[in-house]
Amino acid sequence: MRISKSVFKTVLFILVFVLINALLGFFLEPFRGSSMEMWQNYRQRKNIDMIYVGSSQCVCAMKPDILDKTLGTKSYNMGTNMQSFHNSYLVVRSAVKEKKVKRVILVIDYEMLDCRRGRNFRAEASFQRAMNRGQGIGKKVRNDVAFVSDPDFRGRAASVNYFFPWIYDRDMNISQNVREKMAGKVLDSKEHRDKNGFLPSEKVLDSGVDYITLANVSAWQKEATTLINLRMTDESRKDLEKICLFCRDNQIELDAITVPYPNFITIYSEKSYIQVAGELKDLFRNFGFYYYDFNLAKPSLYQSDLSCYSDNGHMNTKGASRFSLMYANFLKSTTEREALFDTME
Amino acid sequence: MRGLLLPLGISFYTFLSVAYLIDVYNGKYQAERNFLHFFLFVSYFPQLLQGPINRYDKMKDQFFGQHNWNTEQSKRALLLIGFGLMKKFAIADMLAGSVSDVFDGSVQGIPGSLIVFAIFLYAIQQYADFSGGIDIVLGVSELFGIKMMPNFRQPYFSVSLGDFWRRWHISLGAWMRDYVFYPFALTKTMQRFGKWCSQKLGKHFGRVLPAGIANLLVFFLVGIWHGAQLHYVLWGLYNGIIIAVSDLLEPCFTAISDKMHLPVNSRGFHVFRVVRTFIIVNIGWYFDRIYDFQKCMTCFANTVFHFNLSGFGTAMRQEILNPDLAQPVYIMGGYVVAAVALVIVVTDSVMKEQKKDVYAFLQSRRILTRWTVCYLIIFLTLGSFIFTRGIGGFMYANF
Repeated sequence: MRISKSVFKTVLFILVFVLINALLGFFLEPFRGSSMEMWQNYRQRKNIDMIYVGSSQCVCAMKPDILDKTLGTKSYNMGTNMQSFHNSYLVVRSAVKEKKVKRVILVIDYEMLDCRRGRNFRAEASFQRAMNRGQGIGKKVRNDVAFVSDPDFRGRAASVNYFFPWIYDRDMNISQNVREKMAGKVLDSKEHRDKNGFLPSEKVLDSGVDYITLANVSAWQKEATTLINLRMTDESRKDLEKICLFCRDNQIELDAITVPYPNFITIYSEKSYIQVAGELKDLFRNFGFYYYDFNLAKPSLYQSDLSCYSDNGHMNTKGASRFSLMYANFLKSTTEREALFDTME
Repeated sequence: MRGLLLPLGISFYTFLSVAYLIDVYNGKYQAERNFLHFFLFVSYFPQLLQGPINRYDKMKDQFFGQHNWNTEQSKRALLLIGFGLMKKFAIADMLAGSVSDVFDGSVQGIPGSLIVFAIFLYAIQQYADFSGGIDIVLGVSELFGIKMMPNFRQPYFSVSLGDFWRRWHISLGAWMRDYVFYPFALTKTMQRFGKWCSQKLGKHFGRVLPAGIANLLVFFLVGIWHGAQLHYVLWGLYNGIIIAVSDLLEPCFTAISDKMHLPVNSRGFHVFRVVRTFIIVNIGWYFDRIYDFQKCMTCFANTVFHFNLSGFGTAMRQEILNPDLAQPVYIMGGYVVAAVALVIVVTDSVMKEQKKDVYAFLQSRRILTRWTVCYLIIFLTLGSFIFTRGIGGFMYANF
């Protein structure tokens, strides 16, 4: 009798715990977060032959409808916020396996090159949870176990927090979130992707700010006091090599690019920027692929102004349209490409 | 010394072994003949990372005695673990970023009011981090039925710096007392020195001066133990000097309070002493937390000569709530979590100070109250991760 009473109390305690947790999830977890939206739309799409992978820079710069018009492709933007190269690999693998994708455009965000997964828990966990949605229970459990036992997370608070999504995947606009959940649909399409995975934005960067360009970078480097020494971690290198190897082995066309953004050289030391750009070129070349940094594109190839950006690191819809059109023509053309880029040397 | 690999928990390992050797040498207990038993004592995992520094005679019987499952004891242990996790994640980690924002950059021009605020946050962070870690390991050990030495006894309720050190990192203080202070104070040289002082300077000085010198040595070693850096040495010496000077001047303080008819036994005077000690301890935290001596002096100078209370808001927005560093809403959210958790910690401390068994008190309450406390602890800890700016390890695991 006593045992059954204590068992009952324990079960009740756990039930209340689960209930509170569910309530917090209801209030805080977004109705349709960015990762979730990407995976849901991806699963609903029938024909995809080209994908774009990468971080939010990819989500905001690659406009599939414009590229498709020029190239005749059926593409989908699979970028997600702070997407690590590890996750880009998972995306590529899944798209090739499930949708028989033939071409991959990998957008390399320099910020992600020296970002360890352990320090990028929020994005990693949100991505993983979203990827798991709609999978069978067995696969879900396998993926969850793989995630929490990953050397970057096991033994850390992250491996426990993963099971409480409201901690890392949350929408602080609680009232709007609850209203959307009650209605069962997105009520404000702002901050939501289109059906091709592209995130539109009408925001325009404050034009009162001066950014460093290739023309005045040398002077800036002498003047600046806290420049970041850009580097690529071994983890990132291995993940990029894994993507290359997978694409080569599966005869997938891979194009690696860095999209333009205003403060690309304002924050990094020129020397380290040149070095990493060179390392990336070599890495992709070793597998028979190309890497182009469009921040270094000559004006004859591409020119943008601040009205094309929503903030320091992301394009708005105007910028994405302009860039996507140029990039589609770039992919189509057969002219000597190297000559179209500045070497910074 | 960069890149030098040291075994995990080297200092705690050393303290345990040294205490064991001296106790056996002094015949306090017999030497352990079974190497595995000794090895278990020095490498018992809950104590390895940040203590407490247990004694062999207190642990031996517990290690090798019979243990049966005890539900009450396990519930007590789990509550202690949860309480420790809350202190670490919902308090210490919520404040660590703000402390770092103020002290790890340039401190030139930062008003004293913000420096005092950051030191106050550091006082809370340091206590929550260390005592939280200790609560966790005490709880884990208790799950095995093994009670380790307590390491904290509401230190911020101390009435003097000496009292503080009998309540903060108790096992280190006791170790220093037994293996450094007394052996040094009782050397023939120090005894002769004591006699000389009694003859030349009076009985009080004859008793207090040798003890003061022994205290200086102890705190010098405590400083060095924290790290072979000037700021730690200064921090140790500061504590040693304050304790020595307050002991030396004790007759003066007594005379003054007698002359002024101060109600030294009143509740109000007790509160005054607690606040005074808290301020003295916080002055010491300047040396402990501000790693660069020049910077530390600048902070002291700004505290005294450039307090600028009216500039606090602006400095706060510039140094801590600066959107270029972190989203202010997250920092403020972290403060709210820390404040709620702190209410629980202070309530617990007040009850313990009143010699109440908090667990027994909770058990005597209705189930709704008990569970509310448990859920509050759990969800404050989990919720703190919404606002965290990077999880550091335990501060004392570095020593």
